[in-house]
Amino acid sequence: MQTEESATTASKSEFSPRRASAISGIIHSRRAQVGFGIITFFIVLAIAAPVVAPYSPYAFPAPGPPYSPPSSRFLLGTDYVGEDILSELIYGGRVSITVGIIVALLSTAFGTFIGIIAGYYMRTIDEILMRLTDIVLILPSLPLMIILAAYLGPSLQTVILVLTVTAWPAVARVVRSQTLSLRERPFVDSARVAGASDFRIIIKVLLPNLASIIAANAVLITEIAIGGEAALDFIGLGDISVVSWGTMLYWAQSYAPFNGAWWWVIAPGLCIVIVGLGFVLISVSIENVFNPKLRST
Amino acid sequence: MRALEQRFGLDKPVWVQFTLYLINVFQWPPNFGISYLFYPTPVFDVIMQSLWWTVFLVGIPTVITAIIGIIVGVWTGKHPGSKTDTASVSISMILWSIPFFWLGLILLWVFAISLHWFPVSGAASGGVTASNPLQATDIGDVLWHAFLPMVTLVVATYAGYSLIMRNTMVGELSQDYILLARAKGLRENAVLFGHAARNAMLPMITLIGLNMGYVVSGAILVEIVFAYPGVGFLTYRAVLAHDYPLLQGLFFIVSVSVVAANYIADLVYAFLDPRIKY
Repeated sequence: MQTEESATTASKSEFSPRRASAISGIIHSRRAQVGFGIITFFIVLAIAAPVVAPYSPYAFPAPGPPYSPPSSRFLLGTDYVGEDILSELIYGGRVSITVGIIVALLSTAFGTFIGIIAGYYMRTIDEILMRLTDIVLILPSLPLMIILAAYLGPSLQTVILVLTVTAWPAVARVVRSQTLSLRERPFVDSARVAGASDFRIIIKVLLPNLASIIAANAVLITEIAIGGEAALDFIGLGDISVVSWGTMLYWAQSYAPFNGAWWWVIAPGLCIVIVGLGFVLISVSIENVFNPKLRST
Repeated sequence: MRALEQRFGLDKPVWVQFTLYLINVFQWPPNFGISYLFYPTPVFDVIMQSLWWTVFLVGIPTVITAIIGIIVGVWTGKHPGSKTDTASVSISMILWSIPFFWLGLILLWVFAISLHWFPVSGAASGGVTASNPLQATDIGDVLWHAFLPMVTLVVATYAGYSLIMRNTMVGELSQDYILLARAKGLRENAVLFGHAARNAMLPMITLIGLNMGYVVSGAILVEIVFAYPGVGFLTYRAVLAHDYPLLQGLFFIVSVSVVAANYIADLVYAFLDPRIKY
């Protein structure tokens, strides 16, 4: 791992601000490669679920006897009704990863919008928007999710909405502080002198310069959202009829321990950890390459 | 039915209900109404019976993780890029991705259900009788029940502290005053702990405050797994029973506590760092 660190140091000193070299910096970092590898693997698995999975996770009657330990027929064993755990994992990944990505897109879009507007217009607009952001930011996220989900009723849409509501303020904060420093740079002034409208400056000048920090945040939110979805499902606030990694653990919690079905508890949690790690690795490498503090110039 | 509606104030228009709610909340003791689940006990009394258990369950691991995180952070931040550093950062990233409740489930399984070393649920043998851990008659028994949930919280929150401490440490060690301290001929430990760590610890105070929301969220899940009679497990029961007055009261109390923790952290920071003015 020594090589990886020296590689980033080297890329720091000979860093040129051109995007191409930045992207190659991400691709050549060992951490990012591992991260991209993990995520690609799970996304391919999710897309190819009907082809790859040995059984349907909703098969009725269930393909095997309940609580069978891992065997050649059921690689990861079966659950309390005899459904194949491996198939549930593969299909469950579809739900968990999709929820994660949708939440990341929605909250990043909303947070970026609020952050740019606040940072670009400053003064009163900034004050109002940031107080609003701070209020949501400081509220403890899981209790907020629980109370919203309890009122909205358990469903997949509720989970997505609730996770988005708690995720956007962090994006807004980061984007705003970056916008505040960007808007004072000469190239923004020159665009204004050249007669560009506010809208054009935001879209054409500010947004491309914010892209890296927005991307790093979106990747991190995907990880947080996958964990959050699992937590909500685990409490029973998700749609428990849908198979996801969280609902697998929800059922496993009630039935597995006292029947010795350790494979049923280990597998979904391990998937959450590995996918989460993949997103964290990617996010960290994006930040390492783009973070101005790490540049030598 | 009408009598019940009147009892819970559900017969009035929503805006009247809301105004009454606000008036009732800003009193002492705050009046959140009556719990559906524990009828006819007021919500505030129900919450107070579990609040201190959670403070106990969250407080001790917070202190422990902060200390471990600071020590590991100083240790690894000393030589960024070394083998120890890379290994420690990698472990932190893995721990960061582990869901609280899954870790809790596994610890519960291994050490409580299989090995019988620790109890499977609850905060005290024979049920909880005291309203807070300090009044409990058998402290050893209380600690024995709290051990696994606390270990879960320590492991799951450790990553954040160690990573932030490491990063601020790396930043501080490149400052000029460290060069001066070394030039004076100070021993390396005196430079590390006497100079760099003292400055690097300032952001940790803010982090402990900011982390409160995260730790409380984690504590809720851990309490559910271990059926620990704190605020988190109470929230879970309130959700299952559709006890909305209790849910609102819980959310209010938890949020106020988290905001207060942040405020205190800010005050302590300003006290320790004279450059900060509010």
